Amino acid sequence: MVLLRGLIGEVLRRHRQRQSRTLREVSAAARVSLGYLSEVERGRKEASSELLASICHALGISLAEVLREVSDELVALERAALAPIGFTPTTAARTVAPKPSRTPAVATLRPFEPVATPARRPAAPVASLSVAPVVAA
Amino acid sequence: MLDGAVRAVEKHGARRTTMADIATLAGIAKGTLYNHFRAKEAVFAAAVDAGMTALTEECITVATDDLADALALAADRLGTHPALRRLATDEPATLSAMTTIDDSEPWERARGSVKSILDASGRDSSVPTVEVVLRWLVSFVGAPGREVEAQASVLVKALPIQSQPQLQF
Repeated sequence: MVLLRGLIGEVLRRHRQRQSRTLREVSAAARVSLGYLSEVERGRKEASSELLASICHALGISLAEVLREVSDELVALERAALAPIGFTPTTAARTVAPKPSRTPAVATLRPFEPVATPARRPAAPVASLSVAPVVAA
Repeated sequence: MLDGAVRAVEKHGARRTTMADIATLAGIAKGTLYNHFRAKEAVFAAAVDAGMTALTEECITVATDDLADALALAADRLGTHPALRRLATDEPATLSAMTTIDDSEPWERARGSVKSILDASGRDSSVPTVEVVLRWLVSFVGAPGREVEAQASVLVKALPIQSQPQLQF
């Protein structure tokens, strides 16, 4: 599943790396601990609005810019997920190899897989398909 | 389970933590916990191991970018770890035993972790270098440091840059 904090973290890290700045520099400028900044960049921690503002300020970028990039990325991910071949090789392999089981126990193990279709691959993108299956990997 | 152990130590300290505490904080039945571990010492050992593995992985990622960042991160995590800080105030003897470096298996694994972080940064990872970094990091298990980031920068500048050529006989 795509998480907003993961995308925000990626964008922030990309900006920092593009500026060739270290976690130490940016964390000091943003007055946030280095450990916390690392977790935010890795999408492990949800940055508060205050913290996000302060990180953006330290990086000299606007929050709007960050959010726009996040939004662009999200759009790209959603498109990829809805493409006919949007099923990743691993997902496809898993749907083909084992016999489709009807037991609820197995079904709960793959909550994000497209509706258990006996067919190898759906002919058309499933309209209701969420972003989840592809980008989870 | 291991998370439950960390939170139990954070709350009660190591000595007063019981298997029941760990199970409660992990949200599982005591029997389930006993299926995996016979005693709390075994849970603690597994928790330390898991914590170290996670920290190593994180540091390896960061080290590919900047070694000083990775070392500062590790020092920061160790120095501010809630369970370790609880031990520091309540059971200094336990913590002191934990920071006594020797050649036992867990410490060899810690050396391996440090080496892999140095390797990820492309820096020298010979025995003396690993030992210097390990001892610096372990000092933060005992107590948090001041200006950790600046310390990490100083340390990295002092470390040999390139791998020492191996002597061939």
